[in-house]
Amino acid sequence: MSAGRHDDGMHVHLPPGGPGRVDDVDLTARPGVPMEHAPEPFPTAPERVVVQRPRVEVLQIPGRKKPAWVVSNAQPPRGLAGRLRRRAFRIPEHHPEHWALLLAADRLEVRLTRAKRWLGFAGGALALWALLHALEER
Amino acid sequence: MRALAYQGPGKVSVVKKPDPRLEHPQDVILRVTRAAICGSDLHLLHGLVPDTRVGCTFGHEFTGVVEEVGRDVKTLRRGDRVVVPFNIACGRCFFCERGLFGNCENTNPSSNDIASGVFGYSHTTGGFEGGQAEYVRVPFADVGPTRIPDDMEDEEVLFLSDVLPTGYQAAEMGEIQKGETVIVFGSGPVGLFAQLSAWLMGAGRVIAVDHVPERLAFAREYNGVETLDFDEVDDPVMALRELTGGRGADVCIDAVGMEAEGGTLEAGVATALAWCIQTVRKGGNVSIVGVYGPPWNLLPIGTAMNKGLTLRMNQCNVKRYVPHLLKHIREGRIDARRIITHRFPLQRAPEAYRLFESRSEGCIKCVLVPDGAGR
Repeated sequence: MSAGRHDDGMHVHLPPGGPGRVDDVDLTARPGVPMEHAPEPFPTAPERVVVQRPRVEVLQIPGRKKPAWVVSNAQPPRGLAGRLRRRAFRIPEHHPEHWALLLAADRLEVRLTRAKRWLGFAGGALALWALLHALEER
Repeated sequence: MRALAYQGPGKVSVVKKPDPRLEHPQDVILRVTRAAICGSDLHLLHGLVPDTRVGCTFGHEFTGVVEEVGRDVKTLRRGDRVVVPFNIACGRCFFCERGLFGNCENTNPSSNDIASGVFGYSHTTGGFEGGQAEYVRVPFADVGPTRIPDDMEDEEVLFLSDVLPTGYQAAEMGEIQKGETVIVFGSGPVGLFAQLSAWLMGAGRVIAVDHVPERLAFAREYNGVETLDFDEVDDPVMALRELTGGRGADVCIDAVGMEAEGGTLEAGVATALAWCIQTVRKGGNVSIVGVYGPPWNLLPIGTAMNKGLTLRMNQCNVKRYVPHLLKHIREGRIDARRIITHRFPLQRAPEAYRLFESRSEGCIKCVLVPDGAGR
């Protein structure tokens, strides 16, 4: 590819940068100007929205006046880390304790998950050893 | 299906997970064809974003083919190829009606302040599973996804999902006027597109700042910008002042965010942002698209006040930019695909993360390709 120009069989790309490329110089014609425009419905937005019913526990931040219309059912709060997260979600997010508890829950979950895996592995190895030992005894 | 799963700071693996299912009448299920790794995914990988739960799938930049369609979806059909914005927006709330899709209030139960729901970006943004997987659920399918024109490849438009519009919005928020000098901190994908967008908006000079020589070399070649390696100078602020005639740049853009010099409980020291404030001229504009985590930062806000600066920032309202930027791609003004330096099968995603994190081998952007992804 020389001077940033190539033909990929679909579209010929011009050298992308450099002074003099002023296609969007008109400030008012830029697509995000003004950032907040007068209210208008998005053309293909749904006219009627069903509020999703979660299949698992979904933590909601204090101060929300209504439930979110869509939620995720992935990784619901569980175990000790889940208890910390529930506690965090009793504190509004402008308090640093909210975030500190969530970060603590994250670290705790990682350690517990690794410990569980290690215990599972160690338990399996112990059971295998016991089985082999019993067979040898026979 | 197979999907990437977070296992704790510094560790991801590819695991088997249940296929996603339609959870809401306006959902679609996509078969993912391309999923990029974003610089902000590294903040997740490093455990810096609160409420990142073990097992969650990252990925907020992806294209795919519609496999299942919710009963109330009107604009998409099975088999459509689409590119999906990283933000999940309802299209109807106070914010969406004003074009602020990144601030939608109906898609993130976990926060009033942070952002809308985001794919694959922790439970702080709703806990929605991401696209670094074989399949992904996409809520409000009539609002977010854009059909990919038949004559265009997925990779040509993949970055309309995030980094291209984010870089463009960064430049736009700087309110760049013809002939102005713009400094862009960070020469990763967002920084590269911010540099390119600055030229498109008529900048007279664009200066890229980073400390990865390969990235600066890429910026010079891809965008024709001046560059400064801040490891090569004693004082980057003084060096940039020198470069800009002692007065400072008209516009500074923070395309770095929290991991400039970050620690787990600090949200990172906002070094790039501090440099923005210190190197912009009096009365200038600072535009922030770098991602910051928990609310602890040391910021020279007094300097900003005394200099009469305008600070502008937001999550990108991706949907607003897609038609305009698609036109730029079609007409050859933006070759977004060229920033892809590495492709990996989904199964090798952990390796891709390691490479992207190390910024070695000239890595600018990694793209994951699930098995059977097609073109």
